[in-house]
Amino acid sequence: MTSMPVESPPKRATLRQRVFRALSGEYFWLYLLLLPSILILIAVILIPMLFAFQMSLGNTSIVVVAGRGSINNQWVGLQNYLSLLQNPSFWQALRETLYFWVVSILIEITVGIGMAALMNQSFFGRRIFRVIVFIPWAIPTVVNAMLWGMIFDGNNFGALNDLLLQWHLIQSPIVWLNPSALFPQIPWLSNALSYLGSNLAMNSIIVGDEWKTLPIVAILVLAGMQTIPHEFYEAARVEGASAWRQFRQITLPLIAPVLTVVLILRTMQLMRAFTLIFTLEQFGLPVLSIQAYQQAFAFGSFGMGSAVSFLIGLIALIIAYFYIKRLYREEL
Amino acid sequence: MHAVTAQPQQKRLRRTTRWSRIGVYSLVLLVLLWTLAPLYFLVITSLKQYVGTIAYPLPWLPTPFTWNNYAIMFTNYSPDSVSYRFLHALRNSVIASTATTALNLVFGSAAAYVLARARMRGKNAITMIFLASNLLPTVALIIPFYVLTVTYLSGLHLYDTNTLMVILYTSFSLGLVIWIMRGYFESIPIELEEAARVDGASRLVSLVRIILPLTLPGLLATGLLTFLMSWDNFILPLVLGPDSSAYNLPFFIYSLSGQYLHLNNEIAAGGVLSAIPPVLIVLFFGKYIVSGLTAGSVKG
Repeated sequence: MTSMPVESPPKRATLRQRVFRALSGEYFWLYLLLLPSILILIAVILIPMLFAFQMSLGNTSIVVVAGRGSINNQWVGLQNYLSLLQNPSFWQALRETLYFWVVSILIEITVGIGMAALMNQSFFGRRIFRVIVFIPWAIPTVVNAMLWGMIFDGNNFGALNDLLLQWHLIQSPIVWLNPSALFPQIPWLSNALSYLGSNLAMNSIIVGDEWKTLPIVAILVLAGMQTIPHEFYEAARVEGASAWRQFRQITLPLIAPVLTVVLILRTMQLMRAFTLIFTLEQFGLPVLSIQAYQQAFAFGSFGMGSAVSFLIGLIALIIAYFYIKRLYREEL
Repeated sequence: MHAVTAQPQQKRLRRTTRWSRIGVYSLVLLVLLWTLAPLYFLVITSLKQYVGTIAYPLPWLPTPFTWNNYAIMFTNYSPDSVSYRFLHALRNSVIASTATTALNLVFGSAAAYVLARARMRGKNAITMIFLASNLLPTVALIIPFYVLTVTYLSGLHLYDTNTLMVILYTSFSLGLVIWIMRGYFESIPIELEEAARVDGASRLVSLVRIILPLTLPGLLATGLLTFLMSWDNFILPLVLGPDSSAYNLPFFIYSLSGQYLHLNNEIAAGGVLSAIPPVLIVLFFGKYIVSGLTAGSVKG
């Protein structure tokens, strides 16, 4: 922390003096500036979170008549959570969610850094290349979903099937967006992958998602790489360090802060994969977010839906805690 | 002796650099193909007649060609026509994204200023809570939002309104705005502000006259980022605004893919149209967005 004290902290004062100071001094203006954001946080994040928790402890159903709903909340305690934790499909959904997240992050770190390193080379047309590479990130998620839906279409006129058929790489079209097991010839591998949440549809969706998200990762990492002074590499070359060694010892540590930002931005989307999966699969690939939505808005059991939501929120906050702790490591 | 050994070494060096040039250029071509092929496919699909999207082999040029997919978005305006739904979605997207951006910049940068400058216990904790609130997936909050809107708060008639969308979008990007802007405020030397205050400016005046102009790039970056995020939102209109008074472009494109007919060419045209504003933003202001996002990692 280098932000310096603006003024010395007030010495011990009576309550009346403190209130007077708070209202008359410039601190009052400062708090006034902070107030709207705090109110928004309480009203739109904290209260709904608590309300979701309350609903998750009941057998909640609602009836909406002419825009006015009445709520029926029968207290059942931890029943919803217990039946969730005993349900194998919940654990499968959890594994699928984590698979999506872990594989996405791994691809982004490896391929993303690779793309950034490529953009950091000097070659003809580098400036225009950087601009073009950035475009997919701007495409709205639903458009991206529809686009990859057309590419992965299971008929022979799906773009990918069309190409593979014409190159005679496959004999019949593949239904890319079907959650079927991979490697059906090798039973143990197929079962293990299915258990971990990996199936054809999941991996196709990851590919579509990466098309949109790799550019921002690569460009942020590139921005981090460009802040590294050339002299570091020159010194390393003089010492005879190999390219890999230079990358491990110079590049990687110095782009670590940017990588943290990337991880935070991507975790914000950890369970926001909803849009892509819902538009392409509806309820066909029941990751946690889809389950929560389905419980509430397809089955009308808001208690169960809230329980799933609350668990999603909890997982996200646990991950957020570790990231933020890393981000503020020097202060905590 | 030296000259003899140096020559093959140099030749080898030249050969490896030539190979690495070829490697770089082939990787560049690969990345370009990966980036542009889907975009090209989207654009040609939007210019095809329907038969051209379900033919095998698939035509890789826009044949049979038509402008009609774009024309129907703007002509034959009548209730429940495609153009009616498109234009309403466009209006709602513009209103909601613009209002969200404005509110976020005002509230977010004010809060960020306080969290950067004030001597206050627990300001790091507050920043972290804001950031954590942003890491919470929308899906986790959509159920309580829905229930609150249609039951306890039904007297406010918020369901299916742009107002509700703006409130919710704002709260979802506020944490990110505060986090990025705080980084910007901390990067401005406090002496500048103190100098202004010695000259008699109050804290508020110094904020508006001195600090805000200096953080203009940051404001631009966060503003554009907020705009892109709310332009992209899908789940909130899906649950809370599925009517023409509140749904946005993503929801419109989703609604084009009907249960019985999946008109790829119309979907592609709608997709191209709704992608134009964000693509233009990224093409012209991409640099600001990147610097805004990396500023958050550079702590003062």
